[in-house]
Amino acid sequence: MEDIHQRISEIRSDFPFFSQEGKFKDWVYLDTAATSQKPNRVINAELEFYQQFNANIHRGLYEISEAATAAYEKAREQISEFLGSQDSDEIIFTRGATESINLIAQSWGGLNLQEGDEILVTNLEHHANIVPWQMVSAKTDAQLNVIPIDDQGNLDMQYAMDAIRGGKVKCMALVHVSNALGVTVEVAPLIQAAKEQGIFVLIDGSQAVTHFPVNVTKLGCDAYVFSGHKIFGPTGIGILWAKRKVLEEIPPYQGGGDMIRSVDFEGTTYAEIPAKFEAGTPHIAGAVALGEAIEYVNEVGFDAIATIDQWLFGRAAEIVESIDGLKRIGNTLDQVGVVSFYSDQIHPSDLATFLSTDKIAVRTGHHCAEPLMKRLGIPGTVRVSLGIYNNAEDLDRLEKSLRSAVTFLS
Amino acid sequence: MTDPEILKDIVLSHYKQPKNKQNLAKSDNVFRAKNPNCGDLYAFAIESDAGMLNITHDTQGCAAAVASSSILTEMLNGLSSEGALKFVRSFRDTFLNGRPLPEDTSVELEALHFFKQSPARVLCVDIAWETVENALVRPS
Repeated sequence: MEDIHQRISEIRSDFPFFSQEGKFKDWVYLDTAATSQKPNRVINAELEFYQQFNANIHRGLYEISEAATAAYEKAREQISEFLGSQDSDEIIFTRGATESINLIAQSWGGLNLQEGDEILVTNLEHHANIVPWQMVSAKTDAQLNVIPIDDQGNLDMQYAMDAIRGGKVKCMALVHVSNALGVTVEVAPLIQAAKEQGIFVLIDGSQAVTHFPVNVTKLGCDAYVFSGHKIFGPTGIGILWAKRKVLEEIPPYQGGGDMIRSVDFEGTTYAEIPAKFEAGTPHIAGAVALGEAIEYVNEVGFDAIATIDQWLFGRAAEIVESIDGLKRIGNTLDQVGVVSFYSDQIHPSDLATFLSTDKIAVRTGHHCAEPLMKRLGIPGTVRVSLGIYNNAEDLDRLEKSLRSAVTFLS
Repeated sequence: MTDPEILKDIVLSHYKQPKNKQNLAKSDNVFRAKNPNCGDLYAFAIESDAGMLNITHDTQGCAAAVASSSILTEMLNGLSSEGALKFVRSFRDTFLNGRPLPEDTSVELEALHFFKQSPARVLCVDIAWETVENALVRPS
């Protein structure tokens, strides 16, 4: 790759947030794991849809509706290809990863789980991959089994393998990359072992798809989910990929228009997939813009993304490790995009407030992963999360502000 | 309006050396609360001697949470239950509803108002006052 800083500078110029003249001019944005900034082409795709193509999809027998439908379905194809799916009907548009997991928990779990069954999750999970399973457990009397982690966030693989082969686990729902720590879970051997036992496998890829290529066919899981807004797309649009067989077997999640073949008061015949899971008018412009975001990622390329990620992570980790009193969580080798740390003396909220006065946006607290924080024995962390648009100056400003904060607050 | 640097120093001094803070494990009448956003824990023990309140706390949290708890005890100790309740309600009314600070506001309360700049931190300050308000309206 050409000079990395030159490449970051080119990428950064694609994101109007960083060249704005508005209230948040000159801010350092280090909260990409919460939501990414959006490139011009994504913003323009949504704008163009509303300005030129806006009509409801499917069923409209006029050219605008046909064009809107084509744009929406093209996005489905783009995402299918991006995930390495062989069949674009396996892509369901949802509101986000949270809704995707709820759909699977309610529809697959409601149909397949019963008393005594276990749902295997990790101690790293976001609440979105805990609470939906607790809700279906309450209805089915299944229960959660949690794979423990060590102090650095590494999974106890032996525990996981023993649980998988123990005969009780019916479903395994794993995070691919931890939103709170950036730890990457080695999902491939776990999926392989689980499939040998006939266990249903869902992977939460919300933090993964921005950083490395994912191929659901090669992974061999049954379902994979992510949110559009974390991969440079709009909020309110997300993806559920699941195997055709799964989607055909499980009941619809919501009822309404567009998900039916015929309705009368005696009964309803559901539509084929994917329409069966897309009741009501979907976020059409959001889907179209998400397709554009995927094209953007393809254009930047995962080789360049990996190089930039590695540099950003290394520099951010180095800053945190060089400041007395700050403790970084995780091993360098298997982390991506997130540098999470804490201080025994300074509360994370106080550090974040201090950074905010220097126009630096980071996130603090439990990062929607309270069980993880309890396991680590801390109330929360300060999380610096990095995007391919963050440059050396962003991290220099972080370093300067963090050093002042620690001196001031200690 | 006091110099913001002085207000910051007041918060930091109450954070680093909180007043009326002690372990409440053996206390009766302890009122607890948790900040749902960050998990910070607030705890107040309320005693009354000859009609005068003596409040101690064991709040574990950020500067806003600890300083708010510390300043609260300083403001309320020595007041009657009714007087304290009136004080708490008046503070919360000003703090939460964006009313201008009265002329005679103490510099400590003014320091807590500093956190109003950040909507996310308003809760850190207010939970202490809300917890004590609820305790005072509830017969012990």
